[in-house]
Amino acid sequence: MLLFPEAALLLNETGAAIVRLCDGARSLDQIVDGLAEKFRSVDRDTLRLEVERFLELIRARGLLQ
Amino acid sequence: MTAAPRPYTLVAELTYRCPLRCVYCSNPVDFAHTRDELSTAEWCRTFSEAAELGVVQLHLSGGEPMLRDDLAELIRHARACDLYTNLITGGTLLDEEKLRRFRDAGLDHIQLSIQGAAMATAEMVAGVRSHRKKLEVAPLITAMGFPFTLNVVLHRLNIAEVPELIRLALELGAQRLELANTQFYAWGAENRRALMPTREQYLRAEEIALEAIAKYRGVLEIAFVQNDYLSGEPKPCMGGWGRSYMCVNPAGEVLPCHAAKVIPGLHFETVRDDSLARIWRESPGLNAFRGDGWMLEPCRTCVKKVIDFGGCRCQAFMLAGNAAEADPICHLSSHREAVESALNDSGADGALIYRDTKNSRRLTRDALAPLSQRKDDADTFNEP
Repeated sequence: MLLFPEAALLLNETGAAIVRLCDGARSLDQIVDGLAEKFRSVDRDTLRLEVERFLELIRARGLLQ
Repeated sequence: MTAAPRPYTLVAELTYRCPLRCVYCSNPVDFAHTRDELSTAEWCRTFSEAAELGVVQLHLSGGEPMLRDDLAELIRHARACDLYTNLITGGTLLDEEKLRRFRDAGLDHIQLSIQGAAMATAEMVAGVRSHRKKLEVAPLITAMGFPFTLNVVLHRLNIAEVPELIRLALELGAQRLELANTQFYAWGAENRRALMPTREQYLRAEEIALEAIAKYRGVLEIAFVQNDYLSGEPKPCMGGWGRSYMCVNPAGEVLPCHAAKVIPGLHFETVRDDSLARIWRESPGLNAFRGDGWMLEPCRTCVKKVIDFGGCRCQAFMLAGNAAEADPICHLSSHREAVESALNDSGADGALIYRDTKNSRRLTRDALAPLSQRKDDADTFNEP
């Protein structure tokens, strides 16, 4: 769950896995690497697209700096 | 009885004491009669029990929560319970040293209120000198690294300042701006005549806000909270009665929202009487409007009842005289004329009644007097 002042986002499994990897130190590639270990059946390009889409979504909500 | 759902949010009104006298205040009009605020230990137990029930988010509100000497201790305890902790403050009592203490205690977020963009407007609304101090405190909040929401309650007196308010939020480095139109309960209801904007004013402000929401996406999150009377859409008040929010007032009463005591005949326990879990599950007041068994027509058979829960119970009571009616804000309500007449009975000549102890005592002593005889209770802006 991602908490902010007036609400909370209940993340699905993929979203939660991405947020766990966002530690301020990892690059986008490293986040994709991390996910690839967890979701072995999904190819890297799809994962990368998913990560970009998700990060843009939470950035637009002001939840990512 | 409907099974109690999991609560997610606790609004803790730590005190009704406040140095400001805002005319839109949501504290009950009879706040001056409150004695015996919960102790530090009682609040801490309440936070622990809330977290055990599933609550993840805590708003420390008031009154002015800064007037509690134990605020840092309460924050530390809330964080130890793993609650996301938000301080809702007027800001006039904040300084660098206190902010550092709160940061060290683990505070997650600060919501600072201002009453307008122009000093004259802001201080007319707050009823005390306060605007400059708030503007001085905002940079300290950001310098300390706190995520920060600027909150402004909108009404006839300041709604034209929305463009300046957006600019100010950007200048002050806020991450969020709440443009929250006045909700007409408590002091907001007492001052409804003076605070209700015209339809033109409201639609203009909404248009500007919607443009800014798109323009500043990713930079400043802007929330525009509707004016019920002018929106025509009943709000899903508190996400449903006793569903995901609980409010504990300074005396420890467990409420579905801060306004609920306006509805007569409901009984609410205090955290001194019983465990929070048992109160949440069994309180007759909290169970009164859970689920949809209480609904009348047109709500009972309405497809939208799972979205708006029939609107606000307090507003139904205040405008239709029965808390189980549809919120008269809804176009399907048979009490729409109460909304229309409120809109017609508003104007720039409306007098302002400031939220302070003196007016609280006077209004609640005279509660049975007709409104027409209370007009002369309005007073003017003076320094405390």
